Formats: sequence, structure tokens, C-alpha cells
Amino acid sequence: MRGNRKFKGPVGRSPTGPLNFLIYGEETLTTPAVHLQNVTKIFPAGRGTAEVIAVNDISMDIPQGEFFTMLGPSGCGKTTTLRMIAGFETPTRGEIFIDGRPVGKTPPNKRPVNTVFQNYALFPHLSVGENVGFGLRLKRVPKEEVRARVREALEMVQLPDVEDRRPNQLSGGQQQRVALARALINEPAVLLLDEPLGALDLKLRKAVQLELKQLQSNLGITFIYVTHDQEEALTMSNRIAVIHGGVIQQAGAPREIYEAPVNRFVADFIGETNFVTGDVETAGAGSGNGGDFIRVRVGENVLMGVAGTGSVIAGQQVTLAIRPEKMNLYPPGRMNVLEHETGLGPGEIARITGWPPGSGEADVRQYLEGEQNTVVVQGKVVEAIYIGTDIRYLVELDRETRLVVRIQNFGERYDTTFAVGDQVLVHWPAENARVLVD
Amino acid sequence: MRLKKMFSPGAIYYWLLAVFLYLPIFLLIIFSFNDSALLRFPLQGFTLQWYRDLRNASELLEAAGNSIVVGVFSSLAATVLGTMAAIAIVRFNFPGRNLFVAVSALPLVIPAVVIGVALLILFRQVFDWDLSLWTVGLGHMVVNIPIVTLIVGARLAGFPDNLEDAAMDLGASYWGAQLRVVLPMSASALLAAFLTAFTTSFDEYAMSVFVVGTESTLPVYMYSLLRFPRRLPLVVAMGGLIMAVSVIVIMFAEWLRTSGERK
Repeated sequence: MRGNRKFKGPVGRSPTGPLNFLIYGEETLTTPAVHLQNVTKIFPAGRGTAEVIAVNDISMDIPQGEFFTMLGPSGCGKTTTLRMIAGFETPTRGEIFIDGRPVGKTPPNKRPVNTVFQNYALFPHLSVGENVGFGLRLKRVPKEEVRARVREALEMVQLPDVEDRRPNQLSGGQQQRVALARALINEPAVLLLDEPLGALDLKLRKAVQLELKQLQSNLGITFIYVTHDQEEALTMSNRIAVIHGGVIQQAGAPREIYEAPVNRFVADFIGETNFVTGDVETAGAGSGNGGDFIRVRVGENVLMGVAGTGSVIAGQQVTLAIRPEKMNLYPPGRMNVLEHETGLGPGEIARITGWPPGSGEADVRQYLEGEQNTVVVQGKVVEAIYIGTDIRYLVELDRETRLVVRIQNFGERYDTTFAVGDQVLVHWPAENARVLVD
Repeated sequence: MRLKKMFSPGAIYYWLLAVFLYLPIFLLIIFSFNDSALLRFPLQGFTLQWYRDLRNASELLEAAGNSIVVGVFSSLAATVLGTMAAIAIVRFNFPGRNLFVAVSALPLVIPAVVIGVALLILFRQVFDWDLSLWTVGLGHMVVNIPIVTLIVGARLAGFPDNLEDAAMDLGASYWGAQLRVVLPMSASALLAAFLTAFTTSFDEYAMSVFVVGTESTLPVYMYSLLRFPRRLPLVVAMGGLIMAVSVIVIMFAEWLRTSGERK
């Protein structure tokens, strides 16, 4: 799958991966499709409104052919940034380069970009065909050619035979495709998409996400996509910039953003995360296998995680972030243990919390602690919510500390469910938790 | 059941109002066909005499012609200026915008008599112009601009402003976007505004009477005819004719306005 891609980008690999030097090396040889240099946008104070710094000194490179997503809550500055690239807003400070050329003074109609607008912005007084051909007609492309290319563009978005209809006679999904065709027919260097799927229902949105991704990798056009939907961003992007308060909090491949969030905002905004605060007991303890494990005292327990950003010293207050799906629950006490005919090595524990009977017995806690650098703490289930794919448990470690743990619904053969009030062991490999300095 | 509905308080109110509004107009039309110079019952029989006489009332026709010319040109000017004001109000946020909206709507609520006197002072005392159809036209334009701004502004506010962005994004300049997207989309509202402005201008008496020169507009001339009782039936016939034309024009304007909104 990766081999089919027409372009190379820092996708799906961590920046420390062995091949990354090569990929980044190649990347620097070409001009980025879009380059933002210290771009700031300030909306001046109006009557009854204070001055708003929508975008605060953002600098970034978007390589050619990348599916780049700006992700953040509403009002974070992502749409303003997109509108500045499109030319509808002028940066207060800083400069934007498209294909290496500064475009600060260039009006939108002279930029090699096209936009798919939120709610599509199709012209209601024109037919679908006239909508799609709008840009070409303005460029005085001969009529015959316009007609042919309109048909081609509509076929590309799988919408043949609607040329003569009015936009309001189409469904939301179809209108979205028309908007896409209307932009792509102009063969822009960069396609800007402003929450284009926001108005579609969930099923359709998921289908269109995959189509968009497919289309982008087939065409090789740089896509800059704005969304507040983290799942959408993770699904489609080569790279994501998480924006909050007009500032890029973190930029990287989806995996990087999800696995190694650099701060509390990113960890909280992308997916679901448990945050517990505590004091560093020993930094760097147990760094036997390369990781820099930090022991953090949280209430009555000592938990462990790896450093996020920055170094910590003993006694410092930190936040431990751990995702609900990266923990496991076990019943305390003696249990039958799975033998390693399943391919597990000695000392390894199946992710399944129940074990088939008749294969020996072990003390679960002892068994789990046998692993190096793992956290095993006792807790009590205070809430259990069945949500189909998973069961969400709220586990109380002590009076102040509660963790949400998601256990996949693995079926009934192995009884993996717990009831409210059950004593459980919460287990995670230390590297699953990240220590964030606030 | 049905009887009960017809005599409910709401229905009675409705009928009283309808009679109050339309009986005079109905009487006007009846008398315009009445074979007598006196406007009184009993009716004297059917005649088209008064409508025939209209053809020879050259001053009356001239006044009607003046009204049409003044109406067309003052409404055209009001449509252009009012539309520009509407674009400014709906699309741009500028300092003093609220004040601008309030000021530009003011002619709607200022009594026409006041505007008439004010304009008379302006034209005569300040500019020292001779009163003519031009001064009447200017006055009508002033009254009509806010009407146009309201009608066109409502239409502009009704469609999303990212349509202009989209047009520019696809390669149109600002004026190109106005021409290719905003204008065609608000065309029916523009026409409706023009027609509404025209009928207002055609009717306008209270202000016109102050600024009219030697050439009269129709309402002003018709009122002056009342001093000659023998010519009264002529005024009535003219009234009937104007009524018929106005109804047609207003219905057309309304149809344009609503058909544009449904799109």
C-alpha cells in the first residue's frame, strides 16, 4: 500500500525511524507547496468586541503532494489560516509562499489554489455543469473543451448525468462532489478544503473520507484540509497540525500525534485520555531497555510512564496521560494461565483477561509484575458501561484517582467482564503512559 | 358550522376592513362608467364617455407622461444607489455602519410633507434652482432609495456571502463576482425594487406638490382638476385606469419577489 503512493512524505513513520533521514532528505530538494513564515492575523477590535489574535506567528511547510490537515476546535484559527492561503484574508504580519512565490499581495483570483467551501457555496442560479465550468469559462477556455472537461470532472467524482440539474436538486453528498469537481477542474497546485464533510451524515462522511483520500493520492495534488473532527484527520492525513489558540500545538504524522502527544491539549483533543497529576518520585528509574521511565507518585500508588517533552526532576508536579485502550484489567488472585502454545513467550501475558482453564495456575499479580517496567495497581470498578465495541470501566485507584479503561468486546468464551464493585488489577506497560509537564 | 364561521368576530372584522378599504375604489370604478357629470346616486346608466374624453385631455395625458418619465428615471437612479447601499450594509463591516443604516432608512419615516418643504428650501434657497421635473425626480429618488435598499438588502442577506468568495476563488475579480453571481442572483429583487419605487414615485403627491414646477406630475395635476367640477368625471376615469395598471404592476413585482425567494 505504501509503495503505491506517488509521492513521498513523512507518513506513518516516527521521525526517528531509520528511513526517515532519506525521506526528509528528498523532501528538502523540492519547494514546499505552501510555506507559512511567521504568519499572524489580528482582527482589530470592533464595537463591543475585543481585538482577536486569530493566528499567532505560525510557521510551517506543506510539502508537494501531501494530504495536510489543520485540526482544532472551532475558533482555533484553522479556518483563518486557510482563508489566508486562499487569499480571502491578508496576514497582519508574516508571509505566505505558494510554490515558492510570496502571495501576500495576490488576490484570490490570481492564486494557483482552489477551495471547497463549507456548505459547498454552489451557485444556485447556475446548473451543475455551469457551476463546474465556471473557472474554465473565466479563463476563456473554448466552449467545446469546457464541455468535455466538465463531463470528465463530474465522472471523476462519480456524478455523471447531472450536468443540467440545479444544485438544489441534488443531495448533500452530491453537492459536495460538485463542489469538489468545480475546484479540481482548474487543476490547482493546492486544493483547500474547509470542513467539506461537516454537513453530511456519519455513514456518508466515512465513505467520502476514503474517496477523498483515494482521489488525492491518485491526483498527487496537495490537499490542505480543515476539520475539527479528529477521527477524520487521523483517517485521511499524511500529516496533521493540531492548532489551538492560533498556535500549532503539534505537527506530525497521525500516529505520532496520537501516540506521542506533546502536551495536555493535544492528548485531550485527539482521542480520549486519562490525566492524573502526581509528583515525580524518581526520574529515569528502570531505564533498563532504552526507555526513560519516570516513576510518579499519584495518591497512594506509584505509577510509571515515559517522558513526553522536557526533562523532569524529582519532586516536580507532572501529569500522567494514558489512553483508556492502553490499559488492561485482570481479576486479582489465582487464575489459570494460558500456556505459550499461542506463540506467547515466557513471561508474556495474553491481552485477553480471561484464560482457558486447565493449563496451570499462577498468581496474576506476580505474573504481571514479572514483566519489566510494567505498572500493576489495584482498583475497584465503580462504573461499567456497555458501548457495543467495548466496555468502558471507570476504575477507582484511590479516593482522588479514577481511570477510564476500555476493554474490547471479545465475545463470551473468555469472560472478560467485570461488575461494579469488583476488585481488579489495572495493568499497563510503562511506555503506554506519557509524563507531561504542564 | 360554516355559517358560524362566517359570523365569528374575526370574520366580521375581516369583512368590515375589506369593505372599508375597497368600497371607495369599487365606487370610483362604478362612477367612471356612470353617465352623469355628477358623482351621486342613483346611477344614470352605463357610458364609456369619460374614458373617451381622456384621449383628448392633452394636459392630463402630458402630466401622466411626466409622471412616467420621472418615475422611470428616479426609480432607476434609486435602484442603482439603493443597491450599492444594500451591498455596503450587508457585505461590509465599516465604522459607523449602524448609523449609516439608520440614516439611510430615515426617509421612510419622515413625513413626505416635511421632505417636500425641506427640499424646496434646499433647491430654491440654497442652490437657487428653478423647480422642474428634475427637482421632482430628485425628491422621488430620495424617498425611493431606502425602499430599494430594504428590498435588495433582504435578498442579499438571504444568500451566503461565500458565494462571492467562491466566484473569486475560481478566478473572478471582485467586480466580476458581482456581475456573474451577485447580480444574476438578485436580479428579480432588483426588478421588484424598481417597480415598487416606480409606483411610489407615480403616486407621490405630498412632497411633489412642493417641488413641482410648471410641468406637473399626474397626482398634482389631478388634484388641481378638482377645482373644475365639470372635469371631475375625467379624474375619476383616470383614477380607474391608474388603479388597473397599478394592480397589474404590483402583482408582477410581488410575483418576482416571491419567486426569487423560493429558489
